[in-house]
Amino acid sequence: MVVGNVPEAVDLVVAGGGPGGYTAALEAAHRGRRVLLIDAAGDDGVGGVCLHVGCIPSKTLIETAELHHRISHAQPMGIACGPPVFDMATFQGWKAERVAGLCGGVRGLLKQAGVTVKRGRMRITQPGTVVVSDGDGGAQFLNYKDLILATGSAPSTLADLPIDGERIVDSTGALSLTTLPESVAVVGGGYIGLELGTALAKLGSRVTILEADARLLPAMDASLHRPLARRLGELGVDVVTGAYVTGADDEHLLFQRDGKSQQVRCELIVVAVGRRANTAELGLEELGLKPGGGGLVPVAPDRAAAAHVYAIGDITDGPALAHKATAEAVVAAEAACGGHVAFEPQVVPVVVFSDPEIASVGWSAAAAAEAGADVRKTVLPLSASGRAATMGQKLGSVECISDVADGTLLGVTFVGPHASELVAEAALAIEMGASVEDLSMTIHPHPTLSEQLYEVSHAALRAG
Amino acid sequence: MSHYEFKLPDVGEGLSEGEIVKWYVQPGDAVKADQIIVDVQTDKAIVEIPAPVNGTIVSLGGAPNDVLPIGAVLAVIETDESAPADRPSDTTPAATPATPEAGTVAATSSGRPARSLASPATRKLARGLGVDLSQVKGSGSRGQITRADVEQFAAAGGPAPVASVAAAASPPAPATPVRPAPAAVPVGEDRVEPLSGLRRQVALSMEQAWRTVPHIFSMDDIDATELVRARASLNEELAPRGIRLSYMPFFIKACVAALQAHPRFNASLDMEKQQIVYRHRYNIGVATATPDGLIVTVVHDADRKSLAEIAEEIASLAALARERRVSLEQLSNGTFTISNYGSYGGLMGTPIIRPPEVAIAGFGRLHDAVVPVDGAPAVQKRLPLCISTDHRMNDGEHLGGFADVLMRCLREPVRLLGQG
Repeated sequence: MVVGNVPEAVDLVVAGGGPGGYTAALEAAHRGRRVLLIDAAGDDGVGGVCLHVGCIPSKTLIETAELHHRISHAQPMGIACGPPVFDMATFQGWKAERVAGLCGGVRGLLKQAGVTVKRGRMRITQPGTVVVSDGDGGAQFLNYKDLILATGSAPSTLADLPIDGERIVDSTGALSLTTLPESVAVVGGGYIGLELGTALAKLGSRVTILEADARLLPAMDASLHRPLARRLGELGVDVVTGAYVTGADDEHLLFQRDGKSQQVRCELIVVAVGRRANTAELGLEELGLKPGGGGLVPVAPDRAAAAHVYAIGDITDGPALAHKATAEAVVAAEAACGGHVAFEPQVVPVVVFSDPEIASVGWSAAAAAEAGADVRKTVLPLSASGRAATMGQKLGSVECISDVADGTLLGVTFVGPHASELVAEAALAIEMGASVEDLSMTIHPHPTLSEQLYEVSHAALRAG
Repeated sequence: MSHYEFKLPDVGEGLSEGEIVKWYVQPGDAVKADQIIVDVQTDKAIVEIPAPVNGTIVSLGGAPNDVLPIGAVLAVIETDESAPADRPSDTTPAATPATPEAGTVAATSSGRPARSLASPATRKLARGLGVDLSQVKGSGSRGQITRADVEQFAAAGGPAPVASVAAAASPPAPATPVRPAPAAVPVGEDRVEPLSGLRRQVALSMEQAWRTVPHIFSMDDIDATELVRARASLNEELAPRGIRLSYMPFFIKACVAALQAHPRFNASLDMEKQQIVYRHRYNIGVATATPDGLIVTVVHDADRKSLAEIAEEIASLAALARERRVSLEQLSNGTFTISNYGSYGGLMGTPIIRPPEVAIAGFGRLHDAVVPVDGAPAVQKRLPLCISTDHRMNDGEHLGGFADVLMRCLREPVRLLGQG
């Protein structure tokens, strides 16, 4: 160790201020620990990718695009107005206010809890010690009692499409556009590409989505593809599957499909080909840890990766979702405080803010079939919902998977408006071990979209 | 290739859990059937657990100091065999699991992943109490497990209030500034360590015994002149054989005599079945101090053994106990227990019964005391003793009768000659 770098003794260190990191910090502080939260952007970074360049900005964009789209298509309801004019610069101001407000909220919570937030990048130098560099050449060594790693993930890149921040952007760049591009090629048909592509199309861009796999959302159930494809068609989005991107010229994105070179004309290229864990710079090797595929840190059920070191969120196995990270954060903080706990949810809900929205929890029919389980699949179309009819929506469905033997609910997938809001009830039902009979005997208000779960449970019960 | 889930086997009577002491393998290691892979601390001993199959370790079910319930997955082993290899019968460790549980695939008959129907809060409670939910029978219509089910299971089966232990172990928030103040006040921190291993087992069993058993005590002290003389003369005789008697063999033989005269004390109480079981063997437990805590080793069939045989047996048991190498057999099936707190200098004590036994005898420090003999003061060797019994089983009158026989045999050891 360099002379002059006497390590300062600290109690609990959290690396990363995203939903996982700040939740862990709050939880540990609540348990009486003195918490130091380190984030590359310091106070301005709390909330992480989710708040600054992920969930929150993208949902703001999607909400805005949906409103724009509805205004444009309100004529059948008797509302006639000229074509709405979207101004991206105004939108960015609106978005920044939302983000700033929420970021201030998180900052306030941390301050209230007595958490110290420090700007810098952290690296483990040996078990029990980290060094934090502030980016201005300053470095401070800290001896921690416990360390919670929550450094999250960053967009993956393609060698053939280097991000330049202007013509070729990643999801972060796509959410910070100052003007609406006339044409956009989205590389990647996963949920991020799908959400961004759909929103830009609704705002008026001509969008092409290219996916190397044979279908969109390759990580999700194949049956979800049909309503998506239909809606994208209505929105004028071109979907090219089996496309392997080879590069770009000044006006085109170049790709290969069926062994033939093709191109699509576009003003902007959005690269959305997944995310990779931010673990390369953490010095995990000093703890004897070898991150696995994608840089993921292996952890025990209580999130322990090594003695007094815990890992949560996108740098660990499982879907890279904020709500998974926050749930893991609570477990890690409690474990670091001596609790005998484990991250053992029955289900982690997965939500895609596509059009229609998709929200899934537990088993899908395909997963049940693969496991050879004796389950009942019951599907009701959205057209059975009175509330959906009043909204002019009929594209979608609800699927319920239940145990043939005793009706225990095993999985639910909603496709349709506000699916993301509906899925939590199904998650609760599965966590509580409810049966379709329990759900069919729970009174759901009418007329609401929530009745879908009641109706499908009732149908599953009658089928049994 | 298939994944074989090796579950923590039931390694002895009445055990509900084991604590991992040490792993001999890591994920990725190849193992052979019957190769020792882990040491597990049970309520009673450290047991070496062999791998049930040939294969490669995929994952371990816990870290050292983790407490696993019987039936929990101890390790996952990738194997090309679908069934466990046959166990050779000559596995060496005395405490080898008697009935290894066959591996089961984690799925119910309907094929859905095995899960206990319990809410998240109930699952957390169970984990904190060290309760394996798969062992709990839920009271709901489809077997749903409620909070009350878990609490009842924990209370009945005994597993472990780990949560409170853990809470106690959570580091307190440092109240002092980071830079230590000048040493005007004593500087330092309380030392916190997890309650684990044998200490934890002692804590749990003592807590259960003291909570459930209504103790009554009878205390007395007796003239030990003859006892001292008898021991000295027998030791003279046994010296050429290299045997040296402590007082313990005499205590054991005297207790056996009293137990034979009063079978109510060589019994166990089963409140669940509402039964009294009169034991036909005389297996006397002897409490032995070890650096980690108390271990009770058992001299089986003490009624059929001579003083010299008993002396040799307790010496070897004590040595094994201190090294923590006693077999389960040597720890099991006690019918009555003796605590010799006098050997640590104590004059009087109040020994705690070990359920399901119903009585225990404690012996204090042998000492000289002035007592009236025929109206005149005399100096005498005196032996204080205390007998505890379970008041659910025995009343004061029963206790008086038992104490009377015991004290007579020790006052006049020649009476032991009349015993079996």
